[in-house]
Amino acid sequence: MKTRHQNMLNLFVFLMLILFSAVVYKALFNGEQGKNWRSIAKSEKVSESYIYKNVNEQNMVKTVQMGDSGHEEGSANIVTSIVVSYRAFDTLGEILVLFASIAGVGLLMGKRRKRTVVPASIVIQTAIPIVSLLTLLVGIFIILHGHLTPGGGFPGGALIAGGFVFLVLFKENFLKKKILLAVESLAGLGIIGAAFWGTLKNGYFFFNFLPNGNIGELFSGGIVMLLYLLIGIKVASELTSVASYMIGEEETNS
Amino acid sequence: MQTVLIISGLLMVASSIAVIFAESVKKSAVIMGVVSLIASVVFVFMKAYDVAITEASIGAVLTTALYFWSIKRYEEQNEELTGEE
Repeated sequence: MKTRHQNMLNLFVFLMLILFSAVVYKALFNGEQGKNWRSIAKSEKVSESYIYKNVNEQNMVKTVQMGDSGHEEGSANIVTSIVVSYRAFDTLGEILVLFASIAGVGLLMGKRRKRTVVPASIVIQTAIPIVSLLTLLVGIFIILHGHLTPGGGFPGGALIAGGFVFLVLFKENFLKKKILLAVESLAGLGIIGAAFWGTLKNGYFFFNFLPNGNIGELFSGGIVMLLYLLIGIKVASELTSVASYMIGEEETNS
Repeated sequence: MQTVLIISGLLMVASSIAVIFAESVKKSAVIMGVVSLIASVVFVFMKAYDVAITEASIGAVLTTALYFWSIKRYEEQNEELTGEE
């Protein structure tokens, strides 16, 4: 039973590898799409306008205004438009690095045999629900507004993981490893799926296939919001699973 | 601006030296958290708010919690080893 499951998984990984190499081959040796991209007028590429935009001086040429539409990239935050839209492949690598480190932690940390349960003090019992609720809310806000304000998937995910760590101080066997693992893998598959969907639409990995909308609104920026939501879920579940690995699992026959 | 940065930098240096000379491991773990908290304040003054949020949540919360959990595991293993012998 277990070997059959393993074989299915191996087949799936092999198919993903073939798809991935096809994408890389197409990007390297099929230059027709790239010419298309280079022939776009410079005024439509909003990233350059963002780079020339100056906050301090008033007499600079303002090329991008809040509420504009029709640009190539529609997120109001320049860092986000570079990190998640133009250089999304680098972000995929960062997520991979984080995943590798968490896999190492899970490999090294075994089950803990003895459990000395110290009851939490009354300060912790009173304060932790309020503090953790506030932390989770701020984290969700930062993730959802990643394309408008500083922040995004990584800081928001880390904040959500911090809120769960506070909750762990309150009640130790609160985290379930299997649920965390399922959420994390679903989010990772979602990121890869969005990338391949863009490939199917226009031939680019991580192509922005959603409508851009007006700059400065909540639902704008196309794929950026979706990707940052998935990245935030993945980072939060990974960093929380580090906490659950470090706490260890309760063994029934000690 | 400049003075705030210099003062916080000196504080960071002083507290990271204090990490070495702390009496117990738990105290040095807490001082490490304080170092990254000051670093996040420095990031706020440099107008890098996202980095400040990341530093505060990862450096001050998650890393300190990880240090404490690993110290706890180490102490439990030590107790087991000395109890068996």
